[in-house]
Amino acid sequence: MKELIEELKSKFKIEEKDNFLIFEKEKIKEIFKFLKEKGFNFLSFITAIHYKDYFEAVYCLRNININEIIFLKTKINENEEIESLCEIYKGANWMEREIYDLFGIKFKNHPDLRRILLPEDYEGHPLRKDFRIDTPYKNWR
Amino acid sequence: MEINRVESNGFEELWVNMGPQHPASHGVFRMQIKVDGEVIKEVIPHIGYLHRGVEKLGEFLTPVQFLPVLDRNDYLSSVSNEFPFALAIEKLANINVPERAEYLRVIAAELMRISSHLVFFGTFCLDMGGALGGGSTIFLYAFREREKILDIFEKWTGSRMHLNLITFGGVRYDIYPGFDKDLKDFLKDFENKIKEYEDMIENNPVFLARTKKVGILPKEIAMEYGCSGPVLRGSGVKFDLRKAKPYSVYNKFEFEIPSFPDGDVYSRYKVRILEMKESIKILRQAIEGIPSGPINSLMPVKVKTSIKLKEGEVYEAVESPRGENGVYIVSDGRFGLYRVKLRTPTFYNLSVIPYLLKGALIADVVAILGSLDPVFGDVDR
Amino acid sequence: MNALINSLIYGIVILLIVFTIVAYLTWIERKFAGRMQSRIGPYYVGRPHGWLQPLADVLKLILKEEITPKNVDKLIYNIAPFVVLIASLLLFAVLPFSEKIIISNSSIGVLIFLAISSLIIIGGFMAGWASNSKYPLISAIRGGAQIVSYEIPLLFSIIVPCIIAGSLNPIEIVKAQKIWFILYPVIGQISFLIFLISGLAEENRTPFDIPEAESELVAGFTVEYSSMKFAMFYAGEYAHLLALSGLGTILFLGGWKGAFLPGSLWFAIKSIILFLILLWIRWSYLRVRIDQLLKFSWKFLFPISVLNILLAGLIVILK
Repeated sequence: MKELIEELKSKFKIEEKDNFLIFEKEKIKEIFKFLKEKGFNFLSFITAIHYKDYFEAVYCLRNININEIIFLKTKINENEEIESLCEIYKGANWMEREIYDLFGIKFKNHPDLRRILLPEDYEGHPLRKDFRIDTPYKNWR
Repeated sequence: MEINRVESNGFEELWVNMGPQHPASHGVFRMQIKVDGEVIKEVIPHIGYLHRGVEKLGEFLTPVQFLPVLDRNDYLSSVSNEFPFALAIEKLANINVPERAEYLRVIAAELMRISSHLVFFGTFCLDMGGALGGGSTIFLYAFREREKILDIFEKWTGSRMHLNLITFGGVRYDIYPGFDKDLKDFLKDFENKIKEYEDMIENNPVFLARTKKVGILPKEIAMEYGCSGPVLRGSGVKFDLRKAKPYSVYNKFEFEIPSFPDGDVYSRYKVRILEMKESIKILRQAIEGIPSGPINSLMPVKVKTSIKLKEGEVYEAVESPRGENGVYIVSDGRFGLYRVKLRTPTFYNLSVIPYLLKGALIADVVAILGSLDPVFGDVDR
Repeated sequence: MNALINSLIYGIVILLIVFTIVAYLTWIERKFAGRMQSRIGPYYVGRPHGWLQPLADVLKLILKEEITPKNVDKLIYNIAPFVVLIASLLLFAVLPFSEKIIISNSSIGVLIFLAISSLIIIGGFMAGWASNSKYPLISAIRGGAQIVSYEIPLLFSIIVPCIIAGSLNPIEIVKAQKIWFILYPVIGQISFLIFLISGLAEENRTPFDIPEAESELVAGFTVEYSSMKFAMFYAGEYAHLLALSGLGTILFLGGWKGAFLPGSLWFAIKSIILFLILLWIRWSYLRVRIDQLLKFSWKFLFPISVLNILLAGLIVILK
């Protein structure tokens, strides 16, 4: 496991900050293809956090054979897009739809990017920090 | 004579809607199925009917207020929702848990596992048999066993389903004096009953014909989609968080992990039945070896209204009856939580549906959906 | 003239009796099923056994509101329940209740029975088509496929007692059974089993109730009906089941023969026992899938019933 992290650091310029590996979002496809070949083929979850003026996307992968877990993070500014992982991991389909639904981050080359949990005509993205928790839904009958 | 024709799009293709209210869809779930004769060509699922915005609520409530809200996520096994949250907060706030409390948590979790798998067993046969017919007989037998478990819970904590048992630093309620006699009677009775029901169903050629070789999920696809729990173990991967990364006191008990390589509906059903038997073993060992001592690190049990968390991020996961139930907390050193992400198992298990239903018959839809055991509080949060 | 008045009186009396028995068959079913599932069936209406429950059900169904969807095919939609009910009740015209009580004594009674029982599914298909919506349509098509496949084994299993007795008249068949036909060496048991299975499939009962109350496509072809029309479908199903049990006792269990009690009472008792067996099968089994159903009929039941007939023919020739 330590060798894997050293290899990632040298190959893709990844920094490590208390158990989380931070990478640049342009290299996302190469990094995940590399990790999948090494045996990390269980995509556990994808999520996002909204800090003051940027987003952070968090990816979690597991390797069942050697029983290890790895967390990867990247920084996305407002109104920027990030590549979708749907070609490498098929399960990223619903996970990225949920992030688009609740945060508003768009994913490039996603086959079917639309809202999943909220109704189609909902306005706004609830989990952002500037969304008031008691905003009413306009089409409420 | 006037004739009103049925209009259909295209030649021999029909869009059938299994709508949000349906007797066999286990909750509010809508599927649009494109059918050609009896074979399904395409499925478009719609979820989100039960979305309550629990993750946003986590940023406004204090952690202690948030615990009962989490109970309502997977409402059939409520202990496995509070468990990872309590583990995560204890890690961030450096709280110790006494050993008796750990044993009590394990006992509650395993009893909840049996209860949830009994609901799966009853509704699975109910869907395949019909509400008036053979299925409902097995449904009533399974629920009769579950009533005994719910009676034990009621005597312990005062409520049947949403126990509100786990709190930061231990457990809230201690067991009552006749508890181990009740539990041992129940386990002895239940072992015989499970064998009886298993024999009743499994030698039935109708059941075997409807579940074997139906809905096959290969190993690689299951891992890419993030499926966990019995869905993954039914496809041949022997991965259980209780053995892989033991939390609480699970490393003191001896039990096995069942898994079958076929990947069809029958293997997923069989994995859950064998898991019930393993839970009986764990419960017997736990009730023998339970130590005496305090049940919480803060005695008498008082609920702290505010807990100081150190800054950082943590992810803790637990093996719930449906899979890997995890909580990812980001905190910034204040008294609340900055971001809570609930990794609920059914959301990822259900995303396999468009893959599984392609090429199946309409009559297989209920069997496949039932074998994934969805609970829609989990999916929508 | 005398025979005509005889038939008319017998007809009216038997019709009234059959209506009451069909209503109480629902009560028997619910009590029996309840006991099998460790619970009491109907209890409150008419304590302590709930024997006024069928009366309460009939009153409720009469007083419900009739909702007719807007774009149904009005003529066929209204006729379909009547077709089902009338065909089911017509079956009782050719069943003998004892040696002298029969409404219409014809020499091809069994053939008429089979012909009329095929009319019932036509009523079902009419209901499915006229409802002008997807779920009844799918279920009516499945029902048609199922009934057509199971007609042939049913026919072949009914022919065997007729071959041995030498006539299609039900009264002659009962007289020709010195011992009950089910006790004949090989052909008796095989014919009875095939008759049971095909009868269940003809009747749309679990495990073959695909057109009906299934949890995939909600209530099958009766989904757009309410109140009295729905009650007619329901009563027609139970009347068909009772008539099938009646035919089973005539062909296989010796009809009205028996000691001490009058013949018609023996006939009633044997029919109800056969009905209870069919009920028992319903509440214990899960449902088969439609393609497995059709495979079972064509690949398994059909060859066995043909072999059965050949064997019966051999026995008749050798005797």
